[in-house]
Amino acid sequence: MSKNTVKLKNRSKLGEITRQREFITFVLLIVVLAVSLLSSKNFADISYILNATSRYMEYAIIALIMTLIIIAGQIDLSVASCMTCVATFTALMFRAGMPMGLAVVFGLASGFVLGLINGSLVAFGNLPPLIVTIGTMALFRGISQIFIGDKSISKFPKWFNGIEKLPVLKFGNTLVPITLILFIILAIGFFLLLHRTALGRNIFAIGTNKTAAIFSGVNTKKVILLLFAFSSFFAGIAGVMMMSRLLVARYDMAMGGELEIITMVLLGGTDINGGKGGILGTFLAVFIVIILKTGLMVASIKAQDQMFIMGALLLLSIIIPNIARIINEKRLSRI
Amino acid sequence: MLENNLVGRRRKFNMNFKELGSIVIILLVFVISAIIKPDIFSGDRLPEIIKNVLLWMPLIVVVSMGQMMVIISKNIDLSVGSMVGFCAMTAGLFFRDAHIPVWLGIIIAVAVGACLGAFNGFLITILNIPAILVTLGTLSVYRGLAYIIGSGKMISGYDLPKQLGMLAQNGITFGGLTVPWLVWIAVGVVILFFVIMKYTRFGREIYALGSNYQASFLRGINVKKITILVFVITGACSGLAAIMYAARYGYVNPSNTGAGFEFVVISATIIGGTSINGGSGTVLGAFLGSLLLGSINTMLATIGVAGTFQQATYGFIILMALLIDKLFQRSQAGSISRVQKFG
Repeated sequence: MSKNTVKLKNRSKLGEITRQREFITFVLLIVVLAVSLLSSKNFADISYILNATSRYMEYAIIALIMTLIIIAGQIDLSVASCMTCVATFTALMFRAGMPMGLAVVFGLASGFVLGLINGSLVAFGNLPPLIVTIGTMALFRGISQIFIGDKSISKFPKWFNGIEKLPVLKFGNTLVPITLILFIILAIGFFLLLHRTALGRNIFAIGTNKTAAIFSGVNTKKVILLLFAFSSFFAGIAGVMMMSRLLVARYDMAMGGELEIITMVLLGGTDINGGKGGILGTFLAVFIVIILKTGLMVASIKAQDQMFIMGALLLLSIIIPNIARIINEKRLSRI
Repeated sequence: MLENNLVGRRRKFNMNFKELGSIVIILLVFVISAIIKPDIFSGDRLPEIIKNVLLWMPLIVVVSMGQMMVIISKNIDLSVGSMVGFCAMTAGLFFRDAHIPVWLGIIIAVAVGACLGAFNGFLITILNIPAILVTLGTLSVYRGLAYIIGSGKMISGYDLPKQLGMLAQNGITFGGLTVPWLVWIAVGVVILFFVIMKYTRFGREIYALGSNYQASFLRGINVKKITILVFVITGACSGLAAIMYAARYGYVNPSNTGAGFEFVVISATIIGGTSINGGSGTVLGAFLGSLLLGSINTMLATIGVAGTFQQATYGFIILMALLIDKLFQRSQAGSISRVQKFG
C-alpha cells in the first residue's frame, strides 16, 4: 500500500472513553468536587453532602424524565408549574377533609391528566412543544393560583411531613435521605428503559428523525403522549415531595424550576435537538449542580450571583464540547 | 388571465385572514368586558382605559419586533427579559450617578442592549450553539449581571430624571385623549421594522434564512452576519424597552424589571402569526399580537378580575391562539397537513 492510504488514528480504549459526551460531564464533576473540597472542609464529610442532596432531589427526578423528553426532540417547560399545581390540588383536597394518602393519589392522577393535555396538544394537535408548554406553564400555575390564592396550606399529618427523613438506610451514622434512594432507583429504571428496551430505541428514533420514525412503524403519537403524561406525573410526585419537605403548599413553589431542570439535563451532555444523550450524563450533572450550589451557599455567595454562575456554567458546558468538536473537525479535514 | 385573478385573490385572502382574526379577537375582548361590567365604558373612564392599554403595549411591541425577526430566522431569544433588566439597571446607574440627560440614557441603553445581543449572536454563529441554549444561559447570566452592577439595590424614582417619566405621561392630545410619547416611539419602531422586513434586502434575507438555511447559504447569503445582526437588533430593542420600562414604572428593580418578559413577548409574536418553525410572519401580525395581549392584560385588571386569574387566562389564550392558528394553516395547505396527520 502506498502513501495514498489514510492512516486511521489508533482508536484506543482511552480515546473511546474520552470521546463520549458524558466524559466532559464526569470531568466537570471531578473539578467541581475538587474545588469544593479545597474551599470548605465540610465537603469532606459525607454526611454533609447527603443532607445537602435532599433539597435537589425533586428537580433531579424530573430531570430524569426530562432527559427522555429532550432526547425525543421535545421539551416540557411546564414541569415546575405542574409540581405546584399537583401540590395545591393535594393540599386543598386534604384541607377539604380527604385523608392525606387518598389526596396524594388523586393529586398524582391529576398530574397525569395535566400531562395528557400537554401530550395531546403536541402529538395530536401538531403544535410546537415549546410554545404549548409555555402556555401550559402559565395555565397550570394560574390554575393553582386561582384555587389557593395567596394562602399557604400547611398542617399536614405527622407521617407526611419531612418524608425524606424517614429512617430507611444508614450510611455510617448518617441518614441517607429516602428521596436520594428513590432518585437512584428511578435513575436505574430510566436507564434500563432508555438503553435496553424497544421503547427507549423508539425515543431515540423520534428525536433523530421523526418522519423516518413514523415510516419505520413507530407509533410516535402514542410515545409522545406518554412522555408528556409521565413528565407531568413525575412532576406531581416531585411536587408532593417538595410539599412534604417544605411543610407547606403555595402557588409560587418551584418558580424557575424548569430552567434548573433543563440545565441539569443539558449539563449531562444531552443534545437539545434530540437523538443523543443518556441517563448517566444527567445523573452526574445532578450531582454537579448539587455540589456546586451547596458549595456556593457555603461560601455565602448571594443568590443572584449563584444564578449568574449557573447560567455561565450552562454556557460553558455547551461551549467546551463544541470547541473540542470544531478543533477535531479542523484536524480531520487536514488529511 | 382568469388564473391570475384567482391567484391574486387567494393570496390576498391568505395574508389578511390571520390578522383579521387577531383584530376580531381584540374587539371581542372589549365587547366581552363591556358586557360583564357595562359601567367601565362610561364617559371619563374610557380615556383612562385606553391610556392603560396604550402604556402597556409599547414595551411588548418594541421587543416583539426584534423577537419576530429572531423567530422568522428560525432562532429564539429567551434572554430578552434579562437584557431589559440589565440595560435598565445600566441606564439607571448612569442616571443616578452621572446625572446624564434622558437622550444619552436612551443611547446608552440601546448600545448596551446591542452589545448583549451581539454576544448572543456570537455564541450562536461562531460556536454553533443552538439559540435556545445560548439564550437560556444568558437569561441567567444577564439577570445575575444586573444584580451585580447595581449591588442588588433598586433605582428609585428619585434617582431617575423627571423628563423620563414625562415620556409616559405627556404626548400628543386628541380631544380628551393623550397619547403618550412612548406610544409614538413604538409606532415609529413598528413602521421602521415594516419597511425593513418588506422593502429591504436584509428583510428578505431573514425570511430566506428561516425558510431554508442551507439554500440561503448556497445562494450566497451571509448567514452568519444576518444571524448576528438579528440578535443585535433584538438586543437594541430590549435596550429601548428598558428605557420605556423605567419611564412607565418610574423605578428599576434588578429582580422585577423584565422578569418573565420573554414569555409574554414570544407569546405575542406567535399569536401574531409568526410561525415557530421560521420563514413566515408579519410586522402587522406581531403588532396585533402584542396589542391583543396588552388589551387582555389591561381588561382583566379593569373588569376586576383578581390578579390570581391572570396567569391562567394568559396560558389559556396562548393555547387557543395556537390551535386557531393551526386551524387556519390546515385549511390553507392541503397536502402538507395530510402528511402531518400521520405524525
